[in-house]
Amino acid sequence: MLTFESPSYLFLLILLPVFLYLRHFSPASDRGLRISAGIWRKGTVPLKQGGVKLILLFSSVLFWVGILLLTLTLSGPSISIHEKIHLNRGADIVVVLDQSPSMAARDFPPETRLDAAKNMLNFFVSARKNDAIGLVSFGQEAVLKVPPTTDYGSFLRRLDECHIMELGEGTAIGMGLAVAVLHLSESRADQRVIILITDGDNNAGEVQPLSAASMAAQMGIRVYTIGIGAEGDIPFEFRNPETGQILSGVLKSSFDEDLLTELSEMTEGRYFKATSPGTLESVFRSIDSLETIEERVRIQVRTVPLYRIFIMAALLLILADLLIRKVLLREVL
Amino acid sequence: MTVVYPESFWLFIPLVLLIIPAYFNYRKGHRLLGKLAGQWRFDRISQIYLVRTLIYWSTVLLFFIFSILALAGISWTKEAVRDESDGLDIIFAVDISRSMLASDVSPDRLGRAGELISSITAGYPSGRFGLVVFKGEGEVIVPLTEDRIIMETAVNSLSPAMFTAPGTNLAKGINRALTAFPEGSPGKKMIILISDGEALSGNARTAARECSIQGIEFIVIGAGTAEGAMIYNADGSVVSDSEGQAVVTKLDLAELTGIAESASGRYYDLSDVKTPGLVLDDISSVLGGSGIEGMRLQNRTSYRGFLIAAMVFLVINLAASRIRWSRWY
Amino acid sequence: MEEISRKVRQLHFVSRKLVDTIFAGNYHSVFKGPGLEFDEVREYSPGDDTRFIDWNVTSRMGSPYTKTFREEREVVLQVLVDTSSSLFYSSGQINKRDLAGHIFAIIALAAVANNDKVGSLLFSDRVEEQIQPRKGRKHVLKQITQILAVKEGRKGSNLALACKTASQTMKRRGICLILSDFRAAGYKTELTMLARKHDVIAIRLTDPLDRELPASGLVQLEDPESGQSLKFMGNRKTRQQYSEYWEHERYLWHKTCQSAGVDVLEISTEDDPAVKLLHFFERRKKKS
Repeated sequence: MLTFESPSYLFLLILLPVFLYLRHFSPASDRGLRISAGIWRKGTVPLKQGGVKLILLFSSVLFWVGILLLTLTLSGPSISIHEKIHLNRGADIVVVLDQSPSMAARDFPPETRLDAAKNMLNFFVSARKNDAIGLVSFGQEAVLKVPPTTDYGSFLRRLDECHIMELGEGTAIGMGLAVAVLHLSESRADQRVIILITDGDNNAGEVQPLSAASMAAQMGIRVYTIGIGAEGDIPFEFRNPETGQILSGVLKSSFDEDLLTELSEMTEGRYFKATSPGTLESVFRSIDSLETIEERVRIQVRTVPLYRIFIMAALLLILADLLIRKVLLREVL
Repeated sequence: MTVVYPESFWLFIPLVLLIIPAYFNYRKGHRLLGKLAGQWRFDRISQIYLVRTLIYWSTVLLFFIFSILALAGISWTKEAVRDESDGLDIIFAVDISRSMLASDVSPDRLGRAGELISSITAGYPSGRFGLVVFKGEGEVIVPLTEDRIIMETAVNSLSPAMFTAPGTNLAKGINRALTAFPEGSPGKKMIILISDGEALSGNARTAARECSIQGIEFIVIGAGTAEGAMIYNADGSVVSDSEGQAVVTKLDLAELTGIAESASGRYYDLSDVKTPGLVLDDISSVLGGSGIEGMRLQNRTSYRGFLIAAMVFLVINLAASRIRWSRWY
Repeated sequence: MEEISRKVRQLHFVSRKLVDTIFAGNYHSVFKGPGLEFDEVREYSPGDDTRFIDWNVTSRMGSPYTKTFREEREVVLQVLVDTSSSLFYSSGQINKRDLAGHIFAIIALAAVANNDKVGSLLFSDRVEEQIQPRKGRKHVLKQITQILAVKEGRKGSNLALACKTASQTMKRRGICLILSDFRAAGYKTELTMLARKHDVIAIRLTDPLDRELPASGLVQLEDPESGQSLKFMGNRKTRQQYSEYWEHERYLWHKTCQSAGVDVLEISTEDDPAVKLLHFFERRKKKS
């Protein structure tokens, strides 16, 4: 938004028409070499030179726009950017995302489970304003992809880069949880939350999901679990990132609902079952509403001064006028 | 007195060139006056014409001179602006070009940089940190976070092999660091740039100045020595140029101090054992504010005075060509 | 003032020589008087025109007496001098006003040498000064001084009014000289009226700039009379328009004078006015 730091200088704009008059319309504006150029009571020699007059008009317009800009510059034009500054800490949320091959199942046509989860996370993140969000992904093993951060841009970029089977074939739910807990352990946020998104049994990793969950419970970290995907035979197709081979087939899908329920109950979280696109969305909506912290914000106005752009534009315009008159039209007297 | 945009002074060169058309214009006008005015009044008129021309072009030149001075953003005083920030967000921007593997600083430049980062994160436990590495491009490795574990991991894995992008572009590194500050953070912002200064492309000073304009604190850490060192490949062989000469990489002190100056920041030497302490001192002084509580000092560019002077000259210019200097002209 | 009297003396000196050597005689033969006037009565001698025998005297004296006449010579020369600002311009050594002064000096001195009366009427948009015709060199010098003392700044050339005023003041038939640049309009009727009564000669003061503009870039001129500005590019097209305009004006002037029965003469600031005048006198002698 364009603002002026010292708008009182805008009063100088009143002078502009005065100078415009003096320059172009007053009797004194016709000063020149005195040479009789007409007949008494018949006027001066009529000369048809429309082109030259047009160029002169154009040139004058350039000049006066330049002057206008300079006058505006005096009043300190700047763009003010309103920035919402959060005064309190938000929650720390770590999303634990299953990337095992079964997440390639297409029960959210045309999307796979992973794509659907990613889309929903995108939506979820854009609704959060002040919460640090991190990402742990797991397959055979688990890694922290993004530490809890409010730099959502980085988070979403990294989320986008997640692919099926990046981390092997297994489903190490326990490991995923443990990594998330580890990275939340030093967090000083009031609320710490883990959102586990998976579609299968824990079948890999050295840490059992329940022990990871009890660690979380001890630290007061809530775990929300989301079981994703329908049960039954689901077609799947994905590219193995290591071999580049495209695998497809039919998945006999089932997941350990009891485990997920238990995990969430141990940590005062909740278990959600998302079998269809609609349900997945409502799941995230309910997590969103469960995890709200009253935000205290301050609006910070940052002003970016524009005087240099204004002066430069004005200089160019005035210089153009000068060159048009003095060089192009060779104005001499 | 500080000049925020010293490159504006380059505009004086085309301005001097303006004298050429001015001179030819005067010559042409003088000749034409001889034809139009007639001998009987030519002496008087040509004198007046000379005076008028001098006034015209000198006021035009003075107008441009003062406008350029206004453009340069000269500032004499600092003004106190309200500052309600709380906490400090620090982004480390680390050069991971191959030259950072030179071991003129033990164990090597990159290793030492890692140690420095670790001691700073350890020395300021309540801060949020981020890590940007750059070569030909910049890349956010660790977005701004309180998670010290990932920071430690990332620092330990600093290496030129983190990603591929040919060249060294300090400006892109700085700009990437600038974008790594998330919106809505209440904290002050600081960029700590660690590099040997051997940039191949990009205008780092302009990027650094942008940081200063946005009120971001800037610290430049120079990695390496003036004598320089050879770089070794992974197999132990010396990196050499196309003529088989061993490449010696040196610290470009002038470039780095120039960047620090453009950002009105500070410069420290990585090899100096006092550096971590000095940086932490800086951090605590930034946190403590500079004197008045809730205020911060900022350069005040006084362009308005110059601009008014420039416009006064323009008015003189307009007025002088409106005045009747003699009854003939 | 000092400068003007110096100029007058110089002009007087130069013109007197010219007048004494060439112009006095020429002037006399070109500008004849309006008719004959009775001189005396003397005894008739054979060969005299019998028409002029004065019978009254003859019967009284008993021998034939005849009337003799002489040419009426006391001619009045009235000069109408344009003193408007448009005369203060020329591209040459002297401006049109100086040229007017020069021409006036030559003709007026020639008139005075022939014992004629010289009067003048200085006009701009109104009649500025009117000097009654009188004999004598001193009177002429006074008028030259007056013409040269005119300052630039008088606006307009009301030639019509000048002609009308001259018609009213000149009771007897005389010679009327108009020195002007004829940058005026609407004077045709008055000029014709004047020419009906008097021998009118229109001398048009010109300058090379009246025909052609120099090539140039953008130039702003100011008309000293109207104060209007003329902004033009001195390119081929504009210069042609300018030349055509003034050529047309010149043609109109010629036609007006011709239909009014006025003799015309153009003298440019580049010319020597003496040479031009001499040519003019010779041309007129042949005609008459």
